[in-house]
Amino acid sequence: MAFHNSSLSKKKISFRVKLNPFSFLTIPFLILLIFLVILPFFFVIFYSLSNIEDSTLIMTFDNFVKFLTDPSFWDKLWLSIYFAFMATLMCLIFGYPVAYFIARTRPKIRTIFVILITLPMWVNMLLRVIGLKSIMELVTSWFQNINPNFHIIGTDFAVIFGEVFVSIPFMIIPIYTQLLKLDPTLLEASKDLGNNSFKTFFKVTLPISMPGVISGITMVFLPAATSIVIPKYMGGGLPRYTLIGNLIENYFVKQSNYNQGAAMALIMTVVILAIIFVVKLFDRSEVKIQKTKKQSAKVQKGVVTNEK
Amino acid sequence: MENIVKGVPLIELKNVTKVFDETTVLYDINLQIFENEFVTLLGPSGCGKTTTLRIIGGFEQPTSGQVLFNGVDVTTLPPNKRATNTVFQNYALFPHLNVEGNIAFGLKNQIGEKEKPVGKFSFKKWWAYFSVKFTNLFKKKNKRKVVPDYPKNERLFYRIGYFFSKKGKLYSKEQIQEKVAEVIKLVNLSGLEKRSITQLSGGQKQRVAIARAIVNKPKVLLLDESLSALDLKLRKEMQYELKELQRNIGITFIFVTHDQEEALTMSDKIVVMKEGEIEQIGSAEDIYNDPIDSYVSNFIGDSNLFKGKTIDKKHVLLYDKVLGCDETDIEPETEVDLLLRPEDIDIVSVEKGKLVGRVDALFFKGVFYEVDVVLENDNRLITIHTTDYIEVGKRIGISFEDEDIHVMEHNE
Ligand SMILES: Nc1ncnc2c1ncn2[C@@H]1O[C@H](COP(=O)(O)OP(=O)(O)O)[C@@H](O)[C@H]1O
Ligand SMILES: [Mg+2]
Repeated sequence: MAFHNSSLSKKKISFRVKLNPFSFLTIPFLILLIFLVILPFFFVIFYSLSNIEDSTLIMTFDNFVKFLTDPSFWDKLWLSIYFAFMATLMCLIFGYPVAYFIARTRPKIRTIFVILITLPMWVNMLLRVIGLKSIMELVTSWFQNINPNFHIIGTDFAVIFGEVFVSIPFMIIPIYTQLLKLDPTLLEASKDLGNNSFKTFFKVTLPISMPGVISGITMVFLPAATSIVIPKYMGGGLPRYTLIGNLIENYFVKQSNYNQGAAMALIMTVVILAIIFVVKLFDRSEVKIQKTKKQSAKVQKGVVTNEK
Repeated sequence: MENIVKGVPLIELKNVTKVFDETTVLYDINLQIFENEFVTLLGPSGCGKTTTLRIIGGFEQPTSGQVLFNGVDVTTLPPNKRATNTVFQNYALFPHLNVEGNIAFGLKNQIGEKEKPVGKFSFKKWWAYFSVKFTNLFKKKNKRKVVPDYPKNERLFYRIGYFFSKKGKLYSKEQIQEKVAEVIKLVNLSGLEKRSITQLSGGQKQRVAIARAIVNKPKVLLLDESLSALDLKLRKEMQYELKELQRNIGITFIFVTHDQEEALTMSDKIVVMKEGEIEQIGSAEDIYNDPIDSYVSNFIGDSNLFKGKTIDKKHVLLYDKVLGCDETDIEPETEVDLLLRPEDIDIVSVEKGKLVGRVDALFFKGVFYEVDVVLENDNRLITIHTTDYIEVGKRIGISFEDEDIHVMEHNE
């Protein structure tokens, strides 16, 4: 009965949303969406499946086949994802504690911290990356007095550091927002039920902040996997740091080879979607459902064997 | 005195004072609570009930004073090490867990002595168990062999674990499931085991909160205005159920409420609080019949208060009339407050009345009429509860038994 009621009321609500007179306000964005996202996406698919041979247009899978059979492409793909993964991990490791402590300070101090963390975003990213590069070069020149072989620019560290430097606010802010919503009496309840502060963190705080962590991961990982600017400047022009993003840029801008550029972009999209899908599996609600299913299966099994 | 009769109190607050940012919230609280009592902290909002409860639960440290459990000082002990469980004012259920998960939360943390491993480790027995278990992994469901019986406390890993630590989880998964199922039945939540707590009604949430606390069999259960969010009918039901629970499982309850009726129906002992101080401690009858002052009498039940003066132990002066009264220890010739409960007053003829007045208004209250009467002595209004209808405007006498006049110290 109760279930019926709730589903009924849900229907009502969605009906109301449709009738909302202010919904026309979304039309400009919808137009933008159609012309700048959905249509171009079909163009990308079209380009990736076509080729120009002897000045005639033909439909083909060649663009995909070319990449998918090329081991050096797989290397690049793997490297791009590896850097993005490391950057995301570092953002999480260093960003979570920051988000945690900001969420627990007094409101005034909180605001100051949030402004400080988002402040870098007010400066153009290219400028920030170039600035970071100059600082790294400066530090390098000091250390080269001691060890002439010392380098920062053009190392894996520099690329990952650059990504973390640019993306860490995108990890901190969603986690912080989620932690703000955490009711402090839940922590008291956890202690009341026998957990010390350490266990309380893993049993209450972390699971509840999980949606923030997931959106943080998404917002850091996605741009990092396809980033162009950071590997370009932090990689110091070494061929190792020409990553997927740079390759796609090359195809489109330098070689004007839209077909192969589009194919590569699509492959990357599919790979990223797959990764995001896996990450979403860790979202608490979904983990929950799987768990309860497993548990009930176990219980049933138990019943059956007992009867035997 | 009470101390000698009942032995060491289960919980004792000694001179507990609490200061928040320079405002004193609790002044010198002294309170003894004994095993299996249902104690209610009663008082208006902001009088320090929650703070007192939080000090007992360990969520707040007193600024000065001591908290004793069974005579042992636990003032600085954190909540996870106290034998109390709390039902929070806002329930504080974990949103990431379902009903079952919430209830099992505390059980999973209970630590106890592990069972001793039995006999010596036998490789043969282990292999018989392990080989079947292992090969079963690769077989289809219907082709699996029956796993030989191999008690947990004979296993290798159990032995190794026991060697490192003699303490471990008190309950196995199966035991936890069993206990959770039991308590779910007790609080009438059957069928909602897997429900997410965001899909529960207020009353259901509250039952989960209670179940989550009592499943741990705490020595003391702390409840903070736990029923105030419920509608009247459900509240009455829960009052009854809580009282039953307390009788059945033998837990000491410390219950916070601002609802005097709730306090009267449920408590063995009521602690009336006022602005951070304890005004009176006593049974429901004590507090209703012998309130220590006008504050308590006003807070508990309806009351008619008069200024008067004591003459001797059994007589007082009211409107220059000498009247018999409930026996009092207050010195003669003292200004006092006199309390007359509305239901203790009888309406009689004018000649027989100890006081005379005129009926001003009449309200039908279901079981009784509430009659407002203006006294002729000083034109003040008093309230009478009676089952008989009476005309508005009629001149009447009012009468009462001697012991219905309760004498209380007068304080500003
Ligand atoms: N954490 C706190 N910081 C400052 N003042 C507080 C805090 N908790 C409670 N108080 C104050 O202490 C007084 C008593 O509060 P409380 O114990 O919650 O009262 P009750 O539960 O009886 O309504 C109130 O005046 C309240 O404002
Ligand atoms: Mg309160």
